[in-house]
Amino acid sequence: MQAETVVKVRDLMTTAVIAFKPSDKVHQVAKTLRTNQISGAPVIDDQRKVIGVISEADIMKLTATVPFPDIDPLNPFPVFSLTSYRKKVEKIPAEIETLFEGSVKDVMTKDPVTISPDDSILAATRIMHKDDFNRIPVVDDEGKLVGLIARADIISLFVQ
Amino acid sequence: MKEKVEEIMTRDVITATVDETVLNIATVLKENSIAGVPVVNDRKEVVGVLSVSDILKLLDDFHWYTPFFSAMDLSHLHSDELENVKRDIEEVSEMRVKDAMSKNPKTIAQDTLIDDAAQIMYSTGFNRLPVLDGKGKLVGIVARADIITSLCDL
Repeated sequence: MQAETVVKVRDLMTTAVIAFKPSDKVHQVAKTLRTNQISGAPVIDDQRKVIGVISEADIMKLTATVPFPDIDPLNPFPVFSLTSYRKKVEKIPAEIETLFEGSVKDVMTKDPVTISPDDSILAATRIMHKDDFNRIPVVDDEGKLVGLIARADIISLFVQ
Repeated sequence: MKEKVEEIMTRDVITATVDETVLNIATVLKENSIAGVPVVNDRKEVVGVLSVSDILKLLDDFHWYTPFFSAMDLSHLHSDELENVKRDIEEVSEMRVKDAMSKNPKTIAQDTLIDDAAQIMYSTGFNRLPVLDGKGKLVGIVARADIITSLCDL
């Protein structure tokens, strides 16, 4: 799309949005994201109101929350090996499985930034860059999900 | 259970070269539904990464980020402001990859443990890690999705 026809979020947003429920399992989410080649999605309630966003980054964080007693406080980039840790503490594999069996509502980012279909693409781009969000759920006046605008959609500004 | 990144990485890596344009790469990203590519020299060494985030940053460096800009303003967008947007997109499109890419990319060796790669991604915030062989040549790429899929298969 050339710039002269692209002004609003509604011109570039995806309307067939994949969204999750707060009770969905992290495991399911990981598979769905992978199958659809997306890196994150909004979480909606029964009325389609956006209550969160869950992304690969949120899921990755799960693997970093398991406590490790051997971390060197002086090491700025603690690189741990789960495999060697597992050999020391047998209980850990079960903990990790529990994390991945957990629900979306415990892992998602709550109260995400949202945008209206009538907002400008430039405002969306600015939010994405400044606040470092990959995707912004697009909502109507009642906060209900109507679309999604992501960094990858910005590429459409360049390529027809 | 898979342990090393070489077991989960993608081997046919889509790459860019330093003299291509941002428009070339934007087209490649869109056609392949990917968000970034490693940039290689003619010796298959990784010299940078160009991603959608890098392109977004370029647009932000031009006219787009102004403190007076609001959604209200856009509904009365003047033709000269639209010209600025068009011109910024054209300028960024014509930039060379070498001037647009992130330099000093984080790369990993192919025998890196998947868990360690996960930690590197988490600490650095990078979404993709180019994988190198013993001679420093690109042999694959690992993305966040690859790591999560492998962790879920516990």
